[in-house]
Parts: sequence; structure tokens; C-alpha cells
Amino acid sequence: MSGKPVKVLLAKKKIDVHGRASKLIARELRDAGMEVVYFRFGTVDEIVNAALQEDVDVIAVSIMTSGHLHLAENLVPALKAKGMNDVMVIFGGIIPDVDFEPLRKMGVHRAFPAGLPGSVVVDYINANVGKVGL
Amino acid sequence: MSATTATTAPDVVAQRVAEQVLDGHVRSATRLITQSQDGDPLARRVMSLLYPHCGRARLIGITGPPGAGKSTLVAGMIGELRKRGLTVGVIAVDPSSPFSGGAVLGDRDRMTGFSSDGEVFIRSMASRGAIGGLCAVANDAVDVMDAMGKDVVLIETVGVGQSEVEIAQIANTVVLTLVPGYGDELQAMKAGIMEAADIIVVNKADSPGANGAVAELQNMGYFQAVPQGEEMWQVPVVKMSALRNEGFDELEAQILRQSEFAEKTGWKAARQRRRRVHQFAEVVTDGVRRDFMGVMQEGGGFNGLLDRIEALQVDPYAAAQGISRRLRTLTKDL
Repeated sequence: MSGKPVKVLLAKKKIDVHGRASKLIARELRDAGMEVVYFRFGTVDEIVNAALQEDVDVIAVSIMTSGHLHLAENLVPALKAKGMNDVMVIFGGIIPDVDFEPLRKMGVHRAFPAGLPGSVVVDYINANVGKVGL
Repeated sequence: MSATTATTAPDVVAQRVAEQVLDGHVRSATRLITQSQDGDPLARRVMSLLYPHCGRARLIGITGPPGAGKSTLVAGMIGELRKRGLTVGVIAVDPSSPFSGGAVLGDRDRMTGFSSDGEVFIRSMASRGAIGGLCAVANDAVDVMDAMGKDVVLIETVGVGQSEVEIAQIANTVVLTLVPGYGDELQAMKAGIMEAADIIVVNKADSPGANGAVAELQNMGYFQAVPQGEEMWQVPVVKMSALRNEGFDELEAQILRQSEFAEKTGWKAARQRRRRVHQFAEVVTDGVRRDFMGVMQEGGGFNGLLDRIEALQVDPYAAAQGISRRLRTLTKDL
């Protein structure tokens, strides 16, 4: 419990209805000592606004029903427009690995495929938070 | 009485941040809340600059046991306040894990629908081990939102048990949220959280037992004593269903009635003074505790007193009396 806890906004995009995966990762992050703002569904504006008001270090988006490329395309510029250049953006879930590189080019720092242990995400956040930018 | 002012010129950065916050800049404000929670020295400087601008916002505390519907109630209240054109700040506190230090902050999830409204600023916070159901920096967060110019600041506590009454030290109005089946009359008689309420809400009134609960609480007859004068505030019991959007008119009316009563009787001013004195006392005792623990950890402190305690030569109470006496002398000279 030393140092400042990392604060994460855990979001899903509008109508991407799923629960178990995002609740599971919320608990994994919590158990790793992070403060997780659990935010169900949001449009790009809603996610950006929540991230801004909550002053999070990380935006983690749980993806189930694709649309991740479209989301990244809009989310990253919207964050930059609000001056949130120091926030980490990660995606996780049902994402085909051919999309990993395009996501990275759009500014998503890392995409995680489904089925990984939560510790992989935890380790990535801990190793890179505050060091990456948009 | 002259206030002690900083002898150095005000820090330029702190000045700039303070101006941004006073202008209502959300990013600066939320950053400041984070920094004050993290104990950043810059945040303290900014807070000093903001302090004279505080005291305008109406502070409403929403407390109650976990799952009583506090967040849903807050969401409904935001909607009502916005209809009346008032700007709103929300501080929603959820518990930190005593094991990992982590937290799931789930209050915001129930307050959707205001994302595009620039006049609503919702900020979740983890309690980080603070007792009393409110985190130590809730005071700072309230001040930041107050200084930003929010008309009303809603403070949602963590789900509380019986004795977490810290909220009463901050809010102008404390709304205690209960649900049917909260317990029987004996529970309602116990000391603690029930005594902190200015207004009691029986939420989830669409579930069985609501009328019974309301009647029971009304029969108990809760009163709040006002500092001077014989008048007492009789705590109203409001039956609501926050989820179904029922009862907000009544709640709003009661909050207004309580505000007017508190204003008229001097109760409000007394509470505001008490809040600041309490905050001051906390900051001082925290500082003293920290300094004291620091000396303890350095080892061999207090001229070998610790050694003598360890060797069973002086008992801790007698040793503490000596320290207290010296602290008292010091305090008198301040």
C-alpha cells in the first residue's frame, strides 16, 4: 500500500453489453491495489468526460462486440483535444490480432486478447503508467 | 488577530492553478483534488489561495448503509437541481481495501446522463483507510468544488454502519438513506448515525414494509438541537423510490425547509464554524501524531524514556502524562 494508487477508468462502449469479463478485470485491478472507476457504457464523449473529471491515469476499455477500431479512431483524438496527453489507453477483450497494429498506430498503447491472466494487464500498467503519452 | 501570511511571494504556479479553479476549469480542479489526496505540497499552496473563496456552496451529505440506494438518490437529486438551474458538484466516496489498498469506485456508474452537462462535476474517491465513512481529503475536495463556483455540492459517503458520523462535520444538511427492513425500533433508538440525520429518507418505498418503516421512524421523533434558542429541528421522514423517480419533490422541499430553518436560527453558521474548527483540530493532531511517530522511529527518543518504558521502569501512562504536560505548556504559549 505504498505510493499513490493508480486510478483506472474501466469503460465499455455504448451497447457493448457484457459483464463478467469487465467485472473480473475490475476485481483483478482492485486486488493489485488500483482504484478502479467502474463505468458501464459510454459514448466517446462520455468516456472522455468521465476520464477528465476523475483524473485517471489509465483508460481501460473492455471490448466484446468489436467496433474497437472505430472507437480508437475517435477516442484518442477526443482525449488529446481535452489536453489529456498523459493518459494511458488500453483495450482488452475480443480483438483479432490483425487489429493490434492498427490500434497501436491510432494511439492505443496496448491491446490485450481475451483469456490472459489479469496479472499481465496489471504488470503492463504498473510498468508503463505515467511513462506513456498520446 | 492577524492571519499568518506566507512571507515569500505567492508561488506563480499555485497562483495560476488557483485562478483556473476559480474559473471553473475541471481539469485543474480534479488534478488539485488528486494532488491534495496524495499530499502534494503544491496542492497545499493552492488550497490556501482558494480558502477565502469557499463557503458559498450548499453542502448536502448523503449517507446510509451499503446498498440503500445512495448513488441512485444522488443521481435523482442532480437532475432536480439542474432543472432549477443550479450547478452541481458530486464527491462520491467508496471504500479502499484494507488488504490491497485498491478500490472499485462504482458510484459514478449510477449517475449517467450528465456527461454532456458541463455544469455537473462528478468525482469519485477511494476512502484510503479513513474512518468515519469520509476520506480525510473530502474537506479539500468540497472546498475545490465550492471555489469553482458550484451552487450545491453533494457528498456521498461510503456505505456506513452505525457509528460513522464524520459527514455531520462537513455537510450543511445530512440526508440519511435507509430502506424498509433497516431493523426495528430498537435499532432506531441506538446512538450514532441516526443522530447525525437532518432528514431521513426511506428509499425503495416500492418494496414491502415501507409504510411500517416510515411510521416507526416518525414515531421515534428525531430532533436536532440548535445551538442557541429553544427551537428544535424535527427530523422529517421522506418516503421515496429513487429508482422510480418518486419522492424527489418532497425531499427537495424538506432540504429547502431545513436550509431556511438553519439559516434563520444560526444553526448553519454554527455548523460551518464547527466544520472548520474540527478540520483544523484534525490537521494539527495529524501533524503532531506524524512528528511524534517520527521521533519514536528514530529510536532512543525522548532522552531514553522509551528505553525505560521497555525495561518496565516507567509505565506508559505516567510517561505519556509527562509528554502531555509539556505539550500543554507549549500550546498555551502559542
